[in-house]
Amino acid sequence: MANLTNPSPPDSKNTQLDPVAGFLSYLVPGLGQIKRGKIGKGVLFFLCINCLFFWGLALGHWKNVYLPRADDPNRYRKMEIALGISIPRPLWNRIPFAGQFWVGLAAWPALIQWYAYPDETSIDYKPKEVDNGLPFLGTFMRTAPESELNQLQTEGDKIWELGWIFTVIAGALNLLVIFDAFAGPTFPTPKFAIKPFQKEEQNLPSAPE
Amino acid sequence: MNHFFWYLPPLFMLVGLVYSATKYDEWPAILRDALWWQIRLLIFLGSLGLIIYLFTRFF
Repeated sequence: MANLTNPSPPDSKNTQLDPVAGFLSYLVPGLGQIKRGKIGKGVLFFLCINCLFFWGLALGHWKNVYLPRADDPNRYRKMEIALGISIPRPLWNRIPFAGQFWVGLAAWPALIQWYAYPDETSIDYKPKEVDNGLPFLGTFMRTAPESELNQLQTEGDKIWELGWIFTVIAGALNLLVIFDAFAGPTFPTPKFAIKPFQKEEQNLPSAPE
Repeated sequence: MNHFFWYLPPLFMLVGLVYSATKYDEWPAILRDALWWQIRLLIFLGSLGLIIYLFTRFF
């Protein structure tokens, strides 16, 4: 632990940019910090962000992180913004995923389901009598049928909504964690760690022995 | 009572810890800043909740 009463100048290791650490922290929250040798911080980020994400997922009955295909132009809207840029229909019809995505690998099952399974919002949708889902993931993070989502939202005492907000907050916090892994902490030396009288003491000449 | 306000204090704790840990590297600084953020979040959202409650109760 650093000596807070006699802080040294910011560690050069702390101020170096490390894109690999940033990417690792995107994949698994905290992994980039562990790569930079900050094990405690890495474990803290891993626990806090995954706890928040999976807690939110559980509050939403494991059905609030998904990406619908929404590829029917007659039924689903497409958002055109300035300069001719358009937001893809899946994202525009499930905007919270733009936040959930940043939690990293934990949100990838939704992308895999989006790619592999034409859900109810797809023009290729064919209902099956028995559907066990994908080999490893099953139906985890698959877009649930609209009737089921409506039921969860209307009968859930707002807990379903709170759940996806938790997952979005987890993703947004991981953006800060990615930046911390990439560029180091915002304040390498805490400002309030030195009390004013300690500053004066540091300037005093040492007493003769 | 399954009221969603009970979910907020742990949320504030987690958010405060992560945000503070991205600002500092030293544990005392992280913990002190995290506690301060939790207090600030509680005061801010508590005040908003109180104002909304008073409006719905008396107006």
